[in-house]
Amino acid sequence: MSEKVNKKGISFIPSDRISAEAKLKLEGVMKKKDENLNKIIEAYKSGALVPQN
Amino acid sequence: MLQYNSNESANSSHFFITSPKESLYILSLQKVEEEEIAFDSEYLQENILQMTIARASQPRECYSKALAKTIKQIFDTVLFKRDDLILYLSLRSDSGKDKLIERYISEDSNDEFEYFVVDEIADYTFYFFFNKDKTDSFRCLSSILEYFKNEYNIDLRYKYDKE
Repeated sequence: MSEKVNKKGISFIPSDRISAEAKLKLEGVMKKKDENLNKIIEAYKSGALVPQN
Repeated sequence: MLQYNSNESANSSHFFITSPKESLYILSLQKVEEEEIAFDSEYLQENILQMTIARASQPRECYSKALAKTIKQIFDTVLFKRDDLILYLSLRSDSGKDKLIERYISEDSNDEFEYFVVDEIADYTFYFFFNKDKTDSFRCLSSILEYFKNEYNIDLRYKYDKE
């Protein structure tokens, strides 16, 4: 049996090496995402974020 | 499929997904402010919702497949509701979640659902999910390519299957 192939996604990769500056910028973006995740959990635990239905 | 409730507004939607033993996951789809990520494109900034998922309780059992299917159903519902919408997800490449996502999507039967994935960006993988009948895939892709070029000076190229 042949392996199922995913036809829905189109993948891209960098053409060249990524600069140190870009890596630093990406780290910053991911850090903000983690902070946002913590805020969501805190909002839920404090009762500020609850289901409407 | 797991049960879920929601809290939805114009700029953010939160889905509270519970397992049969009451483990709780919060799936969040939020508009991204420029201070957080500058997409360098009004089109992306206006139409992207960033996905995050938080585990809000200690799980007693593993429901990864049921959770993935539930999230996918939420994606389909949300993407069908609005034109030009793009759901954005960033992951650490070593988390293994990328393989899981692609495996579940390969089993998906919704022909309208598609995505672009940008891989091998330092230690990260970026997904841009959309409904191809609601979102112009060419405009979406050209905006993504411009974003990586302008924001990170990264030129992207198509990744062939065997790479």
